[in-house]
Amino acid sequence: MDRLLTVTGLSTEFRTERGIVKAVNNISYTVNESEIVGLVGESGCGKSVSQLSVMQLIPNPPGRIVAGSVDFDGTDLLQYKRESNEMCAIRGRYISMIFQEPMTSLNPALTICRQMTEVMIEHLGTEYKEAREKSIDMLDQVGIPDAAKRIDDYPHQFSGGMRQRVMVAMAMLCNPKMIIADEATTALDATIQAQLLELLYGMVDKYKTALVMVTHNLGVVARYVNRINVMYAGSIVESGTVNEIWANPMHPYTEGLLSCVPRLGEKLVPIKGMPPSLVNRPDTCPFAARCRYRQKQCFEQPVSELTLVEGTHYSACAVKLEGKV
Amino acid sequence: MDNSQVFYDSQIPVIPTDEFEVLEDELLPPVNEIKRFFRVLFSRKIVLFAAILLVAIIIIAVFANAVAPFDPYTQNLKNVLQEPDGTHLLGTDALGRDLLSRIIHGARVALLVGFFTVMVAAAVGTTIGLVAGFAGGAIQSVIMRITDAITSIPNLIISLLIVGILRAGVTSVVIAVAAGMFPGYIRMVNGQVMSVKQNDYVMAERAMGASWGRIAFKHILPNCMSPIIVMMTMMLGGSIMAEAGLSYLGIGITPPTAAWGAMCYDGYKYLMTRPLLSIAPGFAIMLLVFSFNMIGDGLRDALDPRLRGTLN
Amino acid sequence: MSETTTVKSENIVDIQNLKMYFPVRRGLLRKKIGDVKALDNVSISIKPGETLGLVGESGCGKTTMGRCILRLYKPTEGNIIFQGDDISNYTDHDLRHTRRDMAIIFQDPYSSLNPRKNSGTIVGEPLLIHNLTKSRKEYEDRVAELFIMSGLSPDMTDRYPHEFSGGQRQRLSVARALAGDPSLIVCDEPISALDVSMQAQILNLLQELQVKRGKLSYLFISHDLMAVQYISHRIAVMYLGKIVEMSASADLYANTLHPYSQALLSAQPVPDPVVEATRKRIILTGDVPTPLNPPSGCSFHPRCFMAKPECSVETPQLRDVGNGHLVACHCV
Repeated sequence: MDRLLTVTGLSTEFRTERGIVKAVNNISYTVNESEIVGLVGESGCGKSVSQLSVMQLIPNPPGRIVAGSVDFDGTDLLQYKRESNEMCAIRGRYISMIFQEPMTSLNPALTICRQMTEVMIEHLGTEYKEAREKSIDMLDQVGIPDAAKRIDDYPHQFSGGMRQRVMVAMAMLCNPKMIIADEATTALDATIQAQLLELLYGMVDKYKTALVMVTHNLGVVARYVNRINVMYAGSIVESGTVNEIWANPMHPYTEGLLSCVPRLGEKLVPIKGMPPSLVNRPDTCPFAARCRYRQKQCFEQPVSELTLVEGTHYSACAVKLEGKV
Repeated sequence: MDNSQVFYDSQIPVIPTDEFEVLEDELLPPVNEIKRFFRVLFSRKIVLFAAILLVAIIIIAVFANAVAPFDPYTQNLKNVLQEPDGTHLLGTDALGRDLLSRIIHGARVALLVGFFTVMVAAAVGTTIGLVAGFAGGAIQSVIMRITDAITSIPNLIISLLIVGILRAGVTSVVIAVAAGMFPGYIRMVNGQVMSVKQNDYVMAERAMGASWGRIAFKHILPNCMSPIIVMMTMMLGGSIMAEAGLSYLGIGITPPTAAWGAMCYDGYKYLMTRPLLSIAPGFAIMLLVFSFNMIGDGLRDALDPRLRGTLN
Repeated sequence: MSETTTVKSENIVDIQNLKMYFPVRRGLLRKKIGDVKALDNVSISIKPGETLGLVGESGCGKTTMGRCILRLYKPTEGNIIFQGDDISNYTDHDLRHTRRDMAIIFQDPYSSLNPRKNSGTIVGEPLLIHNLTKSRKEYEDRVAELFIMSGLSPDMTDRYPHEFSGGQRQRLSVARALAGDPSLIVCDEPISALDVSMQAQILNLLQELQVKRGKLSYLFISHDLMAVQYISHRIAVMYLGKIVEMSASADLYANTLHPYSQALLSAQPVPDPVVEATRKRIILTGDVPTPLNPPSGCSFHPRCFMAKPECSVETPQLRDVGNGHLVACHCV
């Protein structure tokens, strides 16, 4: 499999009243072609901001990408300005995004047809008629019944699950190389969520599209994803395949996350405390205050970089890596 | 870590902890709300300018007796319609009274009338709006339709009617102007209450058994205050204008009280020869209304709840 | 479970044949065009010290149920017997004393706390409403105690809600709910707006409090089956305003009978790649129908993978299939 996306040392900051918030702090990860990568973390850990940074959709001010490179298919995306033609040509054409709340990502005043065909006319220069036919076909593929008729409806005429299906169809329209699904199924009901995940998985499998699944739900990740990046307080703390991480979580945060999901007949062991504030953070380990394995060095030395454990498994916990616990 | 404990029976295992564990979590770093308020308020230079202007006008109005070079009511019929000179900086009016002194004393009248008008309108409008929004249903419909009806009558007609009944004077001007303004408060407060009512904390209060008075006045009203304060500031300018308009028509503040609107009217007869007699009080009205409107604008930004405890 | 509960009951709450219809009005004359049947003939009971889990998808009526028990809504029909009193026709005024014994924790930790009050005032509110403390000193001591019980430091009483994180805000809600020393707390999706690690903390806190306080009952409403399973003694599964299955917590998982419960359980992703890889999943087709116009017969039949012809005609009744395991399905 060829390398599709290489993010190196990406850092994004927000300037706020309380000080500088390092929302994304020196993260590096890769996505291969037609690979499904999970990005897991709690709210405020920077998982969404990192993806918006890749797409250069960070509102500026207050946000700013301060360092790093985003190599997508051989070109560095960060060399382009936010509103440049080059960047616009990539968004929606080569990288699509699906957001959590479909009602706010669809324009309520335009029909689905108008919004879908516009994407194709804009990016691919397709004729309207052909674009409409393709859109209907795509809606059909995502399981919208009676697509030829429903395409002329407005977003509010669809239910939440159906709207998210429309979003998937729209994201797939230009046959992009990568889709970023930012908590795409979180707002939906359990049974609808299951439908949608199944659909999304089927679609990227069919079109050989790479998928980055941003989620806080470990269950979603376990089923569909090849590799996982676990984020905490702006950094990736552990990275590896699903099996590697589940069998042997090498970062205490991942371990905590795994043990605090209720499972049948098991006692919950929550992670104590709460995520640290990201304002003016020192460069020591951000998890140290909540960690069960913490040692004196964790509060004194700068946090270690992602280090190879074995295979494709990386962790940023020096204490566990050195085998001190 | 004890992951092996299985409890399939309906008894939840007793957690062997003798005391409750208190987390020493770090709170979000506090934001100085007052500092933030003033920073946002004065982030635009024009608001700062308006505030300084307003403070100056208020100081002049309070110490009018000391500031004004002459008594505003002493007539000097030998010295009427004088050009500005070293003694009378803005000249004298048709009765020989010093114009500058009259304008300075007029600031008192303008501020007092404006302040009381807004207080009366806000108190009445907020109370009715709160009742309407809180009660909902038929009560709300009736109140709001009556409000709509009142709004559709031009303010001037309402004011004329009230002054006609009560006779001209400071009290009747306050009531007359307030009568034209309170429906605005009803509408705004009603809408605000309806949106605040949606919050879960209002339902939580009900679930605790709080009386409706407690919910309405201790929980809903405080959360409606920001837009009310903004509206009051904005309406101060409007009510000063309205008072000036009524006085100009001769049905507002009665002579010889130094009121800016009445002074404009008096001077208007000499517009060709002594334009300053009208222009100077007119300019005073403009400055005061301008400063209130600008501060109102600034307050709207500074009191925006979306900005609470957040970024710039 | 007996269907004919007398007023003298050992249960904290007995709900009998509760119906809650919200009229839908349209047009200029606000003509009634139908009812949203949020609750349609529901009967449940909660024993002292018991947690009843209520599971279902959005719009199934679970939130309405919680609010009806607290009489935040006036039910259309049926009885709510709370500690022996039939409160279904009480006015807000009559309910004042009853409401000391009940409390609610909301889903959204942001809108459930008044942003203009400091956290101490928020938590102490029930104490003031019901005059539970004699002096200022006693009030402050009690508030501090409530903070400690909920795992918060009492030094935080003068801080405002926006200075707290979501998990801490939910702890404040718990502290407020405990203030009146209630016998029933309705937890309306208390963890769904929180992060995973915070969810576990709140679940454990609620459980710990129940153990320590003895006779504290919860109605735990959630769409998360795993969380409900973790905290509840008994579970009721709701679909479109009706209870489709109810049984002891462990029994429901070991022996899931209703096809909807099975689908719901199967839709819940299991955070374990080994289990996930082998697990059979039931993916339901179609959307949840609107409660304004529910399907005929069994309201689940259009999405059901076990549906028989009679399902679209006859409404199945809840019946006991042994061990107090109730299910409403023709196919079981």
